[in-house]
Amino acid sequence: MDGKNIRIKKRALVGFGCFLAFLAVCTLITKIIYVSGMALVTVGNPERRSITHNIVLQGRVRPVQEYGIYVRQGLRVETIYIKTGQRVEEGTPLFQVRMEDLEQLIAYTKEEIRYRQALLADESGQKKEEWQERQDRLAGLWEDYDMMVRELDIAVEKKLLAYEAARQAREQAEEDLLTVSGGDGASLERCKLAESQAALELEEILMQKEQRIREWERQYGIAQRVGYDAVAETVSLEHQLGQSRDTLEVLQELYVAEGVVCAPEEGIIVESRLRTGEYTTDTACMLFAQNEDLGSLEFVLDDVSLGCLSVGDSVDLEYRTDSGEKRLQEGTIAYIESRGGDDVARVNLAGAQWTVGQTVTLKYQYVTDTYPTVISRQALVEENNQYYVYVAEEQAGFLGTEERIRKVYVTLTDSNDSLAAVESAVLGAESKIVLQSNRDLAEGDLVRLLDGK
Amino acid sequence: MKDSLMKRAGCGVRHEELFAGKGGKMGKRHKIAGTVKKYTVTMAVAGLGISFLLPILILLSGSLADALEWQGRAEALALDTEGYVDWKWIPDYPTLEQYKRLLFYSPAFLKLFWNSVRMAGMILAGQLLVGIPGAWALASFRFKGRGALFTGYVILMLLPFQVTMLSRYLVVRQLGLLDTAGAVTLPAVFSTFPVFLVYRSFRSIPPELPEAARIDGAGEWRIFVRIGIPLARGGILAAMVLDFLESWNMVEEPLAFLKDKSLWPLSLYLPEIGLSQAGFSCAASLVTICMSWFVFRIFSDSLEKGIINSGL
Repeated sequence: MDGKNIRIKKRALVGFGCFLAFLAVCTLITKIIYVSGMALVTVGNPERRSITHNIVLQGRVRPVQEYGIYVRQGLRVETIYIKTGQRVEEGTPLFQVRMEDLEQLIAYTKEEIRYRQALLADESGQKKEEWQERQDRLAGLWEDYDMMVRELDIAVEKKLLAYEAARQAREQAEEDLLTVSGGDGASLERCKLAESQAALELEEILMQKEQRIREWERQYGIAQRVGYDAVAETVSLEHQLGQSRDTLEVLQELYVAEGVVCAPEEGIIVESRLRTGEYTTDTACMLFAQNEDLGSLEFVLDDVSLGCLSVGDSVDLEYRTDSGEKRLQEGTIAYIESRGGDDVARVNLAGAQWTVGQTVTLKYQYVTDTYPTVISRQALVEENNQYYVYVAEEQAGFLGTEERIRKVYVTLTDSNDSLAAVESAVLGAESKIVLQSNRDLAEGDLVRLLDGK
Repeated sequence: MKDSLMKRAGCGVRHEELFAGKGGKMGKRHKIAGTVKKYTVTMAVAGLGISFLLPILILLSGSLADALEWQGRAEALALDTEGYVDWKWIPDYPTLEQYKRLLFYSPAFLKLFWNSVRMAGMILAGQLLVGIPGAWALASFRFKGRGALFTGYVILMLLPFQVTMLSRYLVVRQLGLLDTAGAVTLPAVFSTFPVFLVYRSFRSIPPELPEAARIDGAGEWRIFVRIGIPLARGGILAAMVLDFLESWNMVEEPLAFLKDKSLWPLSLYLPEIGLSQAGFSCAASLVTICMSWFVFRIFSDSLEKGIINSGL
């Protein structure tokens, strides 16, 4: 019995050992699975600081007055013969377009003219009939008017005479009553009644006349409008046809010149907006000035630079000399204006180193006031026009202190390439904001901080 | 042999016939009655045994049911309405999903399991170092105030935790052990119950044995280690088993002294599992019970002897 007991105990002991070993292995596996599900993140704290905006803008030295050189859009540029700032004479070739594109465009324009002409002819015939119908209708309406007015006038005349007669009878009855002989009250009452009856009828016929004239005027107005739409369409078609013919003329002249666009007169090329291989647009291909009288330096501002630059600010102007040397000069913002949807800043030119069309780079560093909460730009996530950041928060649990992710929505106040000033009631100086993660995060995820904490 | 014995006993054929069942009516009736009684008692005891096993069977059955099936079963409990839990001993869709989740996707359960193992181990080790020698001292040495001291031990043993909780809290806080494992293990190491249990075992050792050893020149330590411990092994093992069961299942001490959940034992994790995870809770409970079952199975003989010797 003891031996049996000892054997049973030994088996139980071995089983217990296996049970503990199995649980130890399960613990290890569970830990591996648990840790493998955690993202590795880098965190940073918000700072109280200002944001520096480094403004860099490209501008040109503009002449006092400049003109645009235009060409039909849709032509591919084959060669550009001049460069910005070059002085040209009248007839100097500026650029050449591809002949094949020109031929295609001419053919297309001719087709367009043919089509419009056919449309106009067709429309014209149809519109003429409609117009004639309109005129006939209007004439018919006038005839109706004359007849109607005549009838109504006769009716009115009759009623008026009847009223007059009744009124005179009433007056006579009144006179008779006042004299000693003839006349009685009953007769006077009858006359008064007849008079009021006649007055009512007269009023009725006058109202009827008014209504019928108004109704006629309404019908006349409708008949008149029908014709105008037809006329408007025809005029528009004629105008379009005229434009197509003008375009064809220009294209044919360009074709004769073998696709070469020349300078209209002597002057300086201020700006070229063309690139070889690209198509022409409906805006000016080149800007051209007649003389070298310097105007100003202009820079088109974006939203950020518009918020940073003000009139009177001192800026750095970087340019290259003829020898290619880079130079730096100070300038002052003279004024900022809105022009054609753009915000443009102008800098007055001083010194003899400037030439029309010269490219200048404006550099300006603007430091904002101190923001209470500034975070790294890379921590910011945009979703449906809203910004949010992920914050790692400590949470005590069965497995000790863990870091759990929480999504915090913020309002973006200001930012540059690397920093962003935000407003949030939740973020504090000790908040751990996630800057980088090795996988996508979601609210409630457990993470591991890269610094080993 | 049987015949000769029967003859010497003076039993005649008649008796023999009766008890040999050779056509005797009285003998048959006795036999039937005895059998019926035997089976009745067996059934009653078996029934009681099954009813004691019912909670374990419910846990086993519940741990094999998935969350959907539990939703249907425990609707009355979840909605807190009048109704009955619809229980099936064999689930319609049995699954090991709960065990898989428990053993591979629940790091909290396993961490607290090892917390409990560590706590129980530290408590038992501490009691072996402190309680057993203490019991030997009380049992073997004659000194002034021994009786009063032992009475004090018994009174402390009888006091429930709620009575001594405040004083323990103040001491632990003063020692700077609050919210550490020491807050739970240290008071348990100096628990009086194992001292009481092992004292009885030491007292059952004949005093002549240690006396003889002293005469032979053995020191007190040698007597304790070579005579006391081996002879009181049953009581010591019984005390250890009972202490293990108590420390494995303790709830109040960790709840009172440990705020950090990562230090909690397994006994505090199970109540955190909600009704929505009832199947998972059943699986966790079964695994928890396994430890106690193993310990009991290995040391059941010693426990029995120890309890008998201690006179409990």
